[in-house]
Amino acid sequence: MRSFLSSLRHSPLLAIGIAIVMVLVVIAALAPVIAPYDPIAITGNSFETPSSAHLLGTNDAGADIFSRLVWGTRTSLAVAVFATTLVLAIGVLVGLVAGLRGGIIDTLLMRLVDVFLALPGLPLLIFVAALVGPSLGVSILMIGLALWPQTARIVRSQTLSLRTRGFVDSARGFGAGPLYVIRRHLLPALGPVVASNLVFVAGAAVTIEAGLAFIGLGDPIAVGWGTMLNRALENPQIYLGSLWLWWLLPAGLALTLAVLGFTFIGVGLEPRFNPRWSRSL
Amino acid sequence: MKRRTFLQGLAGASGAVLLGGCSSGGGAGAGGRPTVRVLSWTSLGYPSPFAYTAGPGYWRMSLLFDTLVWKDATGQFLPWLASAFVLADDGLSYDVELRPDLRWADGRPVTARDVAFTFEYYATQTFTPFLIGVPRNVAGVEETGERRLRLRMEEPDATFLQSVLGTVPIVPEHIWSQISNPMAEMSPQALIGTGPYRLNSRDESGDAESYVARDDYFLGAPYVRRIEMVPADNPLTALAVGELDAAGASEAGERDEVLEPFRSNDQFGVVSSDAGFGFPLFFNLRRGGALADLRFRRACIHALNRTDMVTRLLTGNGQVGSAGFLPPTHEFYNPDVAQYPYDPAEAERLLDEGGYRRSGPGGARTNPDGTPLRLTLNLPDVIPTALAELTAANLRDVGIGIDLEVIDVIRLFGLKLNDNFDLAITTFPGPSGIGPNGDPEILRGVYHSLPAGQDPTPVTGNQLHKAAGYANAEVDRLLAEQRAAYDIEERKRLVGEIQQIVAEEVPTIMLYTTTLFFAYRKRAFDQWYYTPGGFGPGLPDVYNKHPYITGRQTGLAIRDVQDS
Repeated sequence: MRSFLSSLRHSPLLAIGIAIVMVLVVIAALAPVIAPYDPIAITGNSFETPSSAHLLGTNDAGADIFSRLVWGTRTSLAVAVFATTLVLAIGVLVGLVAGLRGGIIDTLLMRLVDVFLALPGLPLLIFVAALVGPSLGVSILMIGLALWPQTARIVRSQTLSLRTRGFVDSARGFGAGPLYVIRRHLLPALGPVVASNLVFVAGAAVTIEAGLAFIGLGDPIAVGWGTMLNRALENPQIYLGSLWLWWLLPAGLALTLAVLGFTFIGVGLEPRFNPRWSRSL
Repeated sequence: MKRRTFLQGLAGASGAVLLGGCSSGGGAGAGGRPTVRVLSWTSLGYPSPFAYTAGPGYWRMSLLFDTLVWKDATGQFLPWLASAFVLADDGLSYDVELRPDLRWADGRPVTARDVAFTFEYYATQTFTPFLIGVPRNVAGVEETGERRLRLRMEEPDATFLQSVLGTVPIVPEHIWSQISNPMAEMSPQALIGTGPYRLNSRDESGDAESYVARDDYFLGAPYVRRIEMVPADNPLTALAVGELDAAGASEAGERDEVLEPFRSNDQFGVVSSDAGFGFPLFFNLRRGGALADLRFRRACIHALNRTDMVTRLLTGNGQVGSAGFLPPTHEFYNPDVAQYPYDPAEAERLLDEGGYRRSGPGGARTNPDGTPLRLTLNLPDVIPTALAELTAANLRDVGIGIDLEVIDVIRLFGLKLNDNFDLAITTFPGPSGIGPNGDPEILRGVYHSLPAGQDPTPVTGNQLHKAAGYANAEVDRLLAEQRAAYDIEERKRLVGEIQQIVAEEVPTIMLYTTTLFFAYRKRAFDQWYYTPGGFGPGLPDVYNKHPYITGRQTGLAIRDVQDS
């Protein structure tokens, strides 16, 4: 914790990143309060320009764009949280087991990692989405499956490195079971590296989900920034007049901001938490 | 789904339109026969009489092949390959006389034998439903003299003139008698017809093509010298910047703002056709429960603010659908059928009466048996999302639980085919391309109790548009009778009765129909029109070959190029 706080002091990017993400979390949590309307309710005429009633005007159906923008925060953050959790669970599990057990299990698991790394992520994602139909759950699952290999490798590499530093073997020598070793020694040591990696995963997850929605493979009914971009760009009127200023731009900016937030945190944490980083300098 | 990424193009569009967009390459100039550039669609198939795909494929093919009769802007059938055609007194056959001196593109003469062969040949094969020019109800074709034929029907059929004489392309016997697999034949000889144009070039993907006039065409050298099919992601933008000479707006309807640049600019003309396309909502009666309950269906329709849909989504460029299915612009429209105007209070009253009670004020409704009233509404992703949201919102407002699912067209087709849905909104037309203003036979495709595959109608029926689980013997009987009614007043009466019954029972409701718009650069070509009742099998587009050939909207006389 102390090292974290000192990182904060030394890295303005980290502070900014945390601030951005915290603001987004607050917006997402308080969406029902912040958004003036239900995001799918028809509350005005189509294509109303921004006014006091509709801060960013209305979309083609007559729904309030600002409310949709606010509620879209939940979608992006939900993707970030759930996809990252999935990556964490699978990546840490596979990496730990491979690093601790070694031998044939390690080899097999790393081949599994290679297979997943070799799979063409985006085309596969598109294929599955087209097959199963658009769904946020499926998107999260596919993103998780695409991103866990990198985390697994990092965890394995760290685990191996920690193993070579005596304390694992000495703990085992004293009779400690593997779970004790994991809980007491490995996880705390892995924490910083994995955290640093996972923050980038979160940013990637948000981008990929929005990207899927953007190309039309998301659920068109769902409220999300990617869907907003897709729907706005599909509309023949988007560049007639200033419609794009309030329908297209804010959603794009929101996405950019979210990804920047996660990236800044990751970059800010890296010098402290990623041993490879400092060694490469 | 299409991506519209032409920032440049649209900036250019406003610039071009403002400056009075010069077109490069298209246009007649004084005294020249024009070249016209129109939109190419993808996957149209090969333009032979047996390998094209659906409506757009059909009209391309019609540039190369002719039918016995053909329509102009009056909607009347003109003698085309046939110089005369007479319905027999018993209504079971047409006597046809061919024009003299007709020749195939390879120079061989066209004979009555070719016509007879054409129908024999069609009878030997089964074709995909995308081939909309396939004849039905033909009992046989006999030569009755030199250049004389009798086309016999199996049953009396008031649609026969359009669906057979006006639709079926006549093919040369000396070529097709050698070909056993017509749908796979992609050779140049498959394109030898009597038509006004010949295929000049075609890129590998079949997207970009050009057609050049045959100056030895039997009506005379066609007025439009060359037709080019140009691919474009956004046709109206392409028209504005000069890549196309004419383009249609979206069939799903278009707002005034999008049409304004063409309406306000003298360079362009715009033609329109009401009710060219529609969005029907289907209730799956086979599911039973609320969906099979007439009162529930009527309540649903009362809950839908369809006028608002047209205003909000299309700035009024559409028409609220009639419960009798045929739109008010239709020649056979019955104005006296039951309608269900927007009335949420009435919807609530009907639902309460039907036992679908709310759990509390503003609460969700339950079925009479206590289970939650929750239905899935399926739509294809080609339908505007806003329509889905409006429909769901209207129904939820009266307490009906709706789960909205937007899926791709193929999957929706599968669901609809297997009656595996609760509520579904589709587009109308589908692959047949014959819209709400087409021959009243379209009612057969929607309301006849037989599945589309078992009940081929001269106007291609499609399971996508069947009212699921609907079976009314009286409607079936009336559908059969109206098809055989040659007297137009009698036919109107019968079709009126059908509309009356289906408006009472509403297994489906046309949410609204859209106005089709077509914009064109006047300098290039200005004789575009929407054919009353559609051309060929009843296609509702502007791409009737007649004005290209004659340079006019009516008649067979070809306009002198010096007039332009």
